[in-house]
Amino acid sequence: MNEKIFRTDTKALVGSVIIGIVMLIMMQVTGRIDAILDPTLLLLNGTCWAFFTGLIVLMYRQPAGIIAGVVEAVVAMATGYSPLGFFFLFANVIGSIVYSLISSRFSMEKLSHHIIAMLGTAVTGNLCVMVGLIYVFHLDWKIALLSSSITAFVGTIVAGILTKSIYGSLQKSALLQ
Amino acid sequence: MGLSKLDPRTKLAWYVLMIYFSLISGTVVQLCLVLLAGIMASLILTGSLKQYKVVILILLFLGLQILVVQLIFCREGVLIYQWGILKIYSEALPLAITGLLKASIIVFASMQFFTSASPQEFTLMLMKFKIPYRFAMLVGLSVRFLPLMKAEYISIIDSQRTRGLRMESAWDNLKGIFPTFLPFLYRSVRRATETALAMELRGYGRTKTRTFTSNIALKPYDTVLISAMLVVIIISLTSKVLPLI
Repeated sequence: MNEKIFRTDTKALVGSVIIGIVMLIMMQVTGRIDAILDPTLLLLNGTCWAFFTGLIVLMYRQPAGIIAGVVEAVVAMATGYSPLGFFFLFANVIGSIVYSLISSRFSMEKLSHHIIAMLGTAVTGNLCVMVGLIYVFHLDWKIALLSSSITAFVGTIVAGILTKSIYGSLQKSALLQ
Repeated sequence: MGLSKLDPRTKLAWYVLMIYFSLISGTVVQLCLVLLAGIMASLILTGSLKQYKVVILILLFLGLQILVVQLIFCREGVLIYQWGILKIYSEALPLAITGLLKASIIVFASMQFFTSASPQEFTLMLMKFKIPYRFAMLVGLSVRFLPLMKAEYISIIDSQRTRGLRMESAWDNLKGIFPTFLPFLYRSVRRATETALAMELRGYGRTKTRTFTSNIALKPYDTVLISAMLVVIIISLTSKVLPLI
């Protein structure tokens, strides 16, 4: 089993659930702010999603990333906080797997490594959300593509920087040992 | 027959059926029929729709969001109003209604499914799908921790407010994300470590299998219902795919 991708100890499994709930709460907070500031782009929400997807994979690897994503999507569906909740399920799972695959090839010590891994995650995740925008919101595919591209671009840059900085501080704090 | 008597797998099949029809239905009439079928099923099996009262407010908010999106971006139909770059087309409202109906079915079906069974039933259902118990039991853990984590986040917000952090407007909330989120994240990581240690000390994951106080088994009516729902999906898929061949 590739240790850079998989980790199945109890700490990783429990951590995935708890950080998945943290992700859910933060997604709800940022979603509400987005609904007032930018209801069509959801930049904060997209950035928050990309950041947590990356952070959980770095902290607990797989299947923790997938579990956290499923927890977030399922509770989002059950509480009805977003009509795209069903598509979040695919976005979270695929985005997390992509982040794992990319990050396992890098040392993840440079900002460029984080940005590259985040780019793959943001693009694949936002593609799933784009399908949701087309099917549920009935948006024209060009508009949906534009909206998803902007969210993916902002998410890649901001979440990449945030992931590096916060993961670094978590490592220094010895909370992950 | 009450909802609690049905096997979680039957409820899962019903959920898949509802999601499938919400995605493939294109007209308002079709979507209304699907939503009505979901509401009727809930009414027959539970005898009440009280638990969905909270959804109405959420859906009104969602409807408003979808309407804004359609008013800004819809380019179908006839141009009925223009103000600068903002153009409103005649199809914006019908598309917003269709979008709202689809969203309503997805939200309603999700609530129906996820509130219809206990965490232990979901755990047992996952184990029937051959998922190891170490993973399946995380359902119960997430249900247990959700209110605790929410309370913890609120307590961190309150602590930061007493230190002078303003959380009144949307802008204040935006500025308040980092001072509230970082302590929340660090406390959550510490809590995860402590919980995992406590669980391991109680024997979690020591053996490959474990026993449960209850079990689930498909009854004849569950088998009939699941088969019927599968047949409906297959017929619908065939009718969609065949004209393309």
